[in-house]
Amino acid sequence: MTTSKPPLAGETLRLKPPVDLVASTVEAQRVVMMKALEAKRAAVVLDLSAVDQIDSLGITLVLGLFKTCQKAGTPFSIEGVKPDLMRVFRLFNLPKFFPILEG
Amino acid sequence: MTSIVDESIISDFVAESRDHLNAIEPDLLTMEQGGGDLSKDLLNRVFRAIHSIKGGAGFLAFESLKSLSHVMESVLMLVRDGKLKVDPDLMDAIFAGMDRLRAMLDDIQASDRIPCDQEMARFKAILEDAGHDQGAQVKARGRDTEGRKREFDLDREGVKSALAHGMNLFHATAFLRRDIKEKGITPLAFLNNALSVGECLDAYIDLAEVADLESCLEQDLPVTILFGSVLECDLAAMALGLPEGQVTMLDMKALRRQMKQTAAQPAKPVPAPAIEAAEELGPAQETGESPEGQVREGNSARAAKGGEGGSETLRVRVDLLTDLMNQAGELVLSRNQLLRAVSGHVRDIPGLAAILQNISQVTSELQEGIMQTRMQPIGTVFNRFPRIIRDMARQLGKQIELEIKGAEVELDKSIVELLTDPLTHIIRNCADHAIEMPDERRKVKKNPSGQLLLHAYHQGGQVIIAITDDGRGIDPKKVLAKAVAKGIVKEAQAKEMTEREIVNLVFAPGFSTAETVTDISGRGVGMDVVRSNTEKLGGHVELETQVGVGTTVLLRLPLTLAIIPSMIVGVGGNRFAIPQVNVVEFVWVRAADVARRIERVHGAEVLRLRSRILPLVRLADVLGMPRTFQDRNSGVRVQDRRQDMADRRGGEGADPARGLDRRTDWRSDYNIVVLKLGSNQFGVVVDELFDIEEIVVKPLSEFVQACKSFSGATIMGDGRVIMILDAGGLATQAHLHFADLMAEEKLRVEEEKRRAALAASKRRSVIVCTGAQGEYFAIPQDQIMRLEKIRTADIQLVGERPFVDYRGHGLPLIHLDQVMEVKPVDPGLKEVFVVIPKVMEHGVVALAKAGIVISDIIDALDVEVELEPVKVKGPGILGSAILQHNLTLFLEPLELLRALGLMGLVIA
Repeated sequence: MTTSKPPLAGETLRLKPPVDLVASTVEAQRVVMMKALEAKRAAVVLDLSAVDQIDSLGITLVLGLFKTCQKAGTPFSIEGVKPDLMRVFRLFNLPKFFPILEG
Repeated sequence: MTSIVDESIISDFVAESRDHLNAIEPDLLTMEQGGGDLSKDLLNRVFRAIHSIKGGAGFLAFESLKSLSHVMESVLMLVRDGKLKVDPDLMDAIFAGMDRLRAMLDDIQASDRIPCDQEMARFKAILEDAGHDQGAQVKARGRDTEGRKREFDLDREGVKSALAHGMNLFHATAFLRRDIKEKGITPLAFLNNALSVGECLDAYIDLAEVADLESCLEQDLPVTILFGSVLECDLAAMALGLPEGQVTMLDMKALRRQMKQTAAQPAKPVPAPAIEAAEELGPAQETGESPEGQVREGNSARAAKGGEGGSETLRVRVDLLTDLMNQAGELVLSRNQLLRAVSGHVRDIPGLAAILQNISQVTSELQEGIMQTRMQPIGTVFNRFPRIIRDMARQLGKQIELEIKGAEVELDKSIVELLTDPLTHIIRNCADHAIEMPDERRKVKKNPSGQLLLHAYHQGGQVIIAITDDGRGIDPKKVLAKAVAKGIVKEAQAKEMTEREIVNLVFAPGFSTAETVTDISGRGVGMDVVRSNTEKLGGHVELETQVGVGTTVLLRLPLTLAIIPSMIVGVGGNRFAIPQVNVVEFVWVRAADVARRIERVHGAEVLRLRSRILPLVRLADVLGMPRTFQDRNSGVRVQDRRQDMADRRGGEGADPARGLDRRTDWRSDYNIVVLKLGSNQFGVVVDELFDIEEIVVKPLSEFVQACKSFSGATIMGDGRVIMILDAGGLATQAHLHFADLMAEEKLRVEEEKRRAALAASKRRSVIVCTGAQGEYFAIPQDQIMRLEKIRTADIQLVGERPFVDYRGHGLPLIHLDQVMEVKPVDPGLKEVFVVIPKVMEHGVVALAKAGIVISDIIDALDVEVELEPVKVKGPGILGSAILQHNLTLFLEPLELLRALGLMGLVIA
């Protein structure tokens, strides 16, 4: 997981997974996300511009991240979504829950 | 990377959606014409097609496509339920929507970026005007996996559609881990499978169930789908791959009540069609059976899997079929080579003949089968024209009725595709130029509505497409004037042209008679494209027109381009293939009959075949090869230096040292292949005829593509490459003028009729004259243009031929004694008479062709006599009779002129 710069309290946190969100990578990504969210953020943006593929557990991870943000009252959105991923998100009606922007 | 959404599903969806749109276009046109009187089947068909597109688009998350098709579906539903009246404005909106859907399908990945706000707004306005509440929802009740009652908001139209198709509605819960991940499938594949057994109305994840980051990966998150299917609950669970307990049927009664209540609300004036449909369908729905005629048309995923009851069709990539066809072609070639190679060993190896026969038959059947897979009904092209005509008629303010016949006629896919442009050009030209404005048509007492007939049919192994209109026709005078003005033909050329040739100038590049260039046509490129594209396909285009009555454009096309049966012929030691589709018959002319059967007309050799004349082309001459014949002494082929086939030199002129006259030797017999080119026929003289073989057409290299005589090449069984002859190219190369020959033939037939009538008739008006003393002749008055007295001193000889100066030009004179067994006119006469026969050309009296020399004119008589045959030999003698006590020979001057080659046709 990379962020655009070291996270500071009150700023928007940009999370950019460098790998596909599939069974073999989700646990590591979850740990990185947890760490990044230790401080309070003004907003959280999940940048999926480097992600080509997402499976069931990847979707679960994204929803878990959203749920965590929701509990903390932090606005959450996803950006840089490739068309194929966008279809999956739409199929699951995820745009109903949070903004998703295509990349 | 691998794509999450299988590209093949998207391409299937696009292809099927295009098919849906193409299929319903004629229905929409019928809708427009039908107005308020619409068939339920038709409306259901249209509705289902748009509904299928919406379903697929929704599943594949093409939002714009889904939204537009959804709103169109709503409009069509109102039409179906009689809540909305069909009028041209509504149809304009629907057609515009269809075009937008097509544009989206054409660039499916960017479909969401294609603007459709205008179309959407138009449909929404229509819906609002009709009092329809777009997006109305109903509540559905079901139970989740733990037995808790759950409520869902469902789109009312979606529910109504599902009920109308006799579906039960189900609530299914799938767990992302155990039902999807652990079964090795992706969420998408799971939903795809769900679509194969029903219609997905909604899919969502319950947020309340989602754990936070800390423990999310430990949970097995449930996904809920709401879908409709004709299956019963247990079968639906099995089809979804879910335990039975995770699939429950929705409370259908409550749902129907909801539908009724929604519909009954005064704020939503559209009554409850869904509930009516559901109640009508009640029993079927209870049993889960689909009512007749209501079977849902498959969406992309479903069709790919075949659906229930087994699939009768399968989508196959065209490149795969092309590949198979090429392989089949190679197999045919190899089969031919094999047969040739082992033909000498058939007797040596027991059973080889049967094996070879089997291989040969299976190869032919395999090849035919593969060819069949590429055959497409011409209707795939025809069906686009009703829409084009409809739009053009509205744009031009004309009334045009298009009738289509033979849409089921099949052609190779490549031909069908290449036909689109030429046919579109013809149709647009007809609508724009040929069909008159309604007022103009009324003035000439025509139906104000122009008729356009598009007719495909088989004829002699070819497919004919005839496009007939009842418009103004093509005026040859205007065409010629335009062609001269544009420099397409020179004025000198123009005078020589027949009407048929003039009319065919419309196919010349850059030709257009349109007064104004419109958006639709008139740029003079259309008909040129028609001809070049048709000829590229190995076809032929013809035009028949009558001013004020209409025009027919005929396209003659081969069924396929890949493997064709062909006649193999030989000339000068080389072999060539002639497509069998062009071959009419073979004619064998014995050497001894050549002089009698082969004649010369307008400088071209012709064969008299069953009372018609057939122009002849020597293949060797056209291809620039030396002509040969088989020497009767050595048996080898040597160069033939004769110019005329019909060598009419006297037998006594033959050199006795050369042995038997070659003109009667069987080795000089002529083999003539009669070819057809549209409605014309011509004969090709070849040295040898071989066999008919199935040949695989290989395209010509670009270096020889300009050679019009060849349409391709092929490889023979013995491995030799031979050229395939192009009938049209040969005719062009040989400068055949069918029109002249036809005109000549027509004239000849008329003459024969007239002559027969003349011979049979008893009553005659004749001029009686004398030749030598005591010899009397009678000449029909209606065949005489002038009777002139001339001085014998004025007769000049050019070589052996006598001429006289007649009105400034040399008039050939005919001395009867030189052409028939009569005595000469007394040479001592100072003055003689000349009978100048009346010759008609193109309906007018032609310049004097010749004069018949007689010594005196006796009388002009109206007589009633019966002619008797005479023994006097010579041309132009009708018979004899006694007139005024003298035996008189009745002459036919025109026949005499013709026999002497003074009117064009020479009879040996």
